[in-house]
Amino acid sequence: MRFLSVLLLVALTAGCTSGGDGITVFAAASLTEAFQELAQEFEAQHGIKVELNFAGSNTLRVQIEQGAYADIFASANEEHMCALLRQGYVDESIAFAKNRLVIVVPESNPANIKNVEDLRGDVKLVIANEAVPAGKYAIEALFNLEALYGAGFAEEVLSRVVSQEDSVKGVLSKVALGEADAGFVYATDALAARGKVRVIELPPEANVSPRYYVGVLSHSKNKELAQEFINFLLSSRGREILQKHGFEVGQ
Amino acid sequence: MNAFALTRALTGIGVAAFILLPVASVLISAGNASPEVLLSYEVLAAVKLSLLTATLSTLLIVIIGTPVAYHLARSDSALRRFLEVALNLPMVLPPAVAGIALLAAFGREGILGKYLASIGIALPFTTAAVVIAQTFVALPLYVRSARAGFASVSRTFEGASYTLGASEFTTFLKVSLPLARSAILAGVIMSWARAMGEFGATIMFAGNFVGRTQTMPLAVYSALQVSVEKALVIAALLILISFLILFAFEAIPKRRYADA
Repeated sequence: MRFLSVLLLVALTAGCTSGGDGITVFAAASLTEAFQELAQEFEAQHGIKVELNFAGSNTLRVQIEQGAYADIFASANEEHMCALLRQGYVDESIAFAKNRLVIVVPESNPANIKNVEDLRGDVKLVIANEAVPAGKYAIEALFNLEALYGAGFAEEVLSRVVSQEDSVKGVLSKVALGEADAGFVYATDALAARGKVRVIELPPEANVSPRYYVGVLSHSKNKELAQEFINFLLSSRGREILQKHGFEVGQ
Repeated sequence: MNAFALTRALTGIGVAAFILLPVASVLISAGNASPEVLLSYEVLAAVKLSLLTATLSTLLIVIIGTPVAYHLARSDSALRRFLEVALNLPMVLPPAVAGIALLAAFGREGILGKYLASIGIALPFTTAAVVIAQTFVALPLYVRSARAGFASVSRTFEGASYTLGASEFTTFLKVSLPLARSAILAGVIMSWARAMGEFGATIMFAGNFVGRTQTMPLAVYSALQVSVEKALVIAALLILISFLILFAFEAIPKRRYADA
């Protein structure tokens, strides 16, 4: 009995560790590697704990709307940040990085895809769900490509989609595992998985330019520390880390 | 009423509330949803796909599970012990592990999957993959129930059948099977319910695509990332199906002649 109550107590208190000396960051899945490194340095500098939660920006937004606690939200597009700004969950936000979309194929390239037009063939294509920024950008890029490959190209390629993943990392892993023939991911994800996937660049004129936004949550209990994390993200060291992981940062 | 009885009654009420409150909350919240959500393409596609795949996998389970259940009930060989362990495995495996295990075996780069791929069969991302995932997790439920049914059929009846000149197969078909029917029916309902609820193995092995691999539980998960309303509506439908399953379970006639 005593053992049980101790267990229960531990279980109940385990969920309450955040909010003290530390901050919780909800960040788009594509920021995973960069933010892990940023958080590690920030932790070492300030002697505090940074808790990271990565998922599709839309998932994080719904979690925040449903009452999840976070000090910082970093979104892979403007839409989800704007929605939180409108509803008063975030007071202000700032763009901090840019990315671009690429096609990845497994290292073994089973469908023998050499260029963008090869997506027209018998290909198992995986993209992110259209609610996820990466999915929306993929569809946008496909329609941009119609200027080069003719009307109907987007429809044709979209009919090859076999799965819509809930985050861009889901797309990456399906391709890296070799289960899918090709996928649309960010250039930064492809960089993180080098050795397992091959990259096919989109023609620059057809590419999209995803912008990342970050802001402090209005219900944050640790706004100063949260702001400091954002300052670090925008500092020259922060930008260096983002660049190292393939993001474009402003001058 | 003494203190012990009171505690028991209060705990009972508490437990019932703990289970019923969340379920009722879904139904109440979903009740506020607009009817268009219910009739949206994704929701209808998920319902159709779930009913189809759960029924197909249950059929498959009955076909391959019945002989196995009978063997488990009647044999005492080494194979039986081995089967016993193998069959219990999917029940204790976490669904995500089942998913990655199916990928490792039947995926395009999987142990067996690469041979299948070389003859042009690719399972991941297909409706067939959904059925395989459901069969994998739900098979043990059916076999356990059917096996208990066969085990409770007295061998006296089978013996009588043999003495009257019936073959082993005829005896199985005309004597054992009908006498075990309640347990078999219970197994069918349980495995169908488990197949309807399958999530982890499906999303990992079959992917997530509307109309092809997005069953109702996957649709709940995907919808929650966009609109809570849609997720609640699909969840409410799954709850209604669960109630139907419970009623069906209650309606199974109780065994009468199985014990000699």
